[in-house]
This record gives sequence, C-alpha cells and structure tokens, in this order.
Amino acid sequence: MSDRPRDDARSLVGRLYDTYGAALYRYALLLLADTAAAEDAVHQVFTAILGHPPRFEEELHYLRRAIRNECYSALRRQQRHGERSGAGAILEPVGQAAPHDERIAVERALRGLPPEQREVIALHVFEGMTFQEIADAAGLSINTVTARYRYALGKLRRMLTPS
Amino acid sequence: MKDSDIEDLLRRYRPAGPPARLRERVVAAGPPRRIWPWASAAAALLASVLSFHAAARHELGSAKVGVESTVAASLTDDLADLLGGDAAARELAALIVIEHEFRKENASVAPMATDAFAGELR
Repeated sequence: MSDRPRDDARSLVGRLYDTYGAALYRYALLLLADTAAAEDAVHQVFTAILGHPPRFEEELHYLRRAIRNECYSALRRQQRHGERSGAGAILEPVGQAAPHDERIAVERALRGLPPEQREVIALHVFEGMTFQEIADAAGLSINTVTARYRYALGKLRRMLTPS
Repeated sequence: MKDSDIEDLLRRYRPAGPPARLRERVVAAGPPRRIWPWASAAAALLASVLSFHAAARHELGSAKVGVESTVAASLTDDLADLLGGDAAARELAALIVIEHEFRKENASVAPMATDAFAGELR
C-alpha cells in the first residue's frame, strides 16, 4: 500500500507552513498573548488542512481566517474555564537592541489591551495591512476597525506615558 | 506622547517568531481525529429530520433557532470539544444545539420524528 496521499498532504502542509507559518504564529501570538496557546492554534489549523486543503488562490485568506477563528475559540474556552493566558515573551526587538525595560513596558501595555484591539495593532502596525484590508479579512466594518485602533492607541498612550 | 510616537515605539518591536519545534510538530501531525466516524451520517440524518419538521410546521423562520447567541456558540464549542473537536464534531454539535434551541422555543409543539422512533425502540 502506498503512502502517497499522506506524503502529498505532508508536503503541502510543509510548504504552507514555510510560506505562512511564521506570520500566522505571530498573528496568533498577539491575539492570544500566550506562546503555548499560539502554538496550539497554529498546530490545530495546519492539522485541519490535512483534511481540507485550501485552494491555492485563497491560501492566505483561508489560513488567516482559520487562525482567527481558532484563536477566538481558544479565548472563549479560556474565559469559560477561567484560565489566564500570558506565558512567554510576545515581542522581540527589530534591528538594534532595544532597552530591556522598554520591551517589558511595551509588552505589558499590549497585554493590557483586549484581544480584538491587539489584533488590529498586530495587523496594522506589525503586518502593515490597511484598515480596509483588516476589515475585509476579519469580516468587520472599517469603522469598527478604526475605532478599535484608536482605542488601542489611547490605552497604550496612558499605559506607556510616565506619570 | 502622540499617536505617531506610540506607533514608532511599537515598530521597534515585532511579535516573536515561532519556535523551531513548531514546524516539526505541524508537519508530523496526522489527519484530524475522527473519534465519531459516523458523526457526518448522524449529522446529515438530524439535519434531514429537522428540515422536514420545520418545513411541515412553517415555523422555522420565527423559531430563532440559530446558534448566533453567545450562549449557543459557547455550548456548541463545548459540545464539539467533547465530540472530538474536528470539523464533523463541530457540525454535529451545531445541529444538536440547533435542535435544542428549537425544542426550547417550541415546547408546545408535538414530539419530533426522532422521538417517535425512539419511543418505538423502548
């Protein structure tokens, strides 16, 4: 008996992970603010691909939507079971080394945001998506997206401004 | 601090990347678990019974049987987890919750076809 279908599925998953895995993990990490939960979400989504591979032309859209759904399901489960997230560093410096205290402060401020506001920050600031692109990807109105971004910046300002 | 200052500060960082072990874990994963291999067939049967029942009474539109509410969505998630957590489990869980909601809203409605069948088995 041949292992061909399984091998094909695995090579597909390998290719998709190499192309999109890091970005999806980063998205999940900002949403969940927990490294183990982000790993589980990515694992769950790629496992599901083995059963239902996405069409080539909609891979990114499909995977981003799938990881979003998985993350919000995980957040609902955490909320119902009273679990607290927060394990592991969620940020790493880009380029030159940043002061350790500053990274801790920014990370703490991001963790203080609701997940849906962190999501907009992740996609706009870190992924470079426009508000319209975020609205389309998340199935939200652009007004909702921009409002979440404004609220997020306001909270970050209050948390990061020295008193 | 202006908005642009906050954005500049954030851009000095990015979300941490995945650990190297994650690729191995993802690629080594098997196909989704199918704890209930008959779940799809059961879900299809349940869907047929529900559709027939609802169509016969012309009440589906007013029954508000969707699983849009937070409680129903939460119940669906829990049930799907119990059934194995795969796509078929979620499908079956959604249908079970729909039936549950439908029964709640139609307490005075006559027993469903599945009840009659279950009664014959007793």
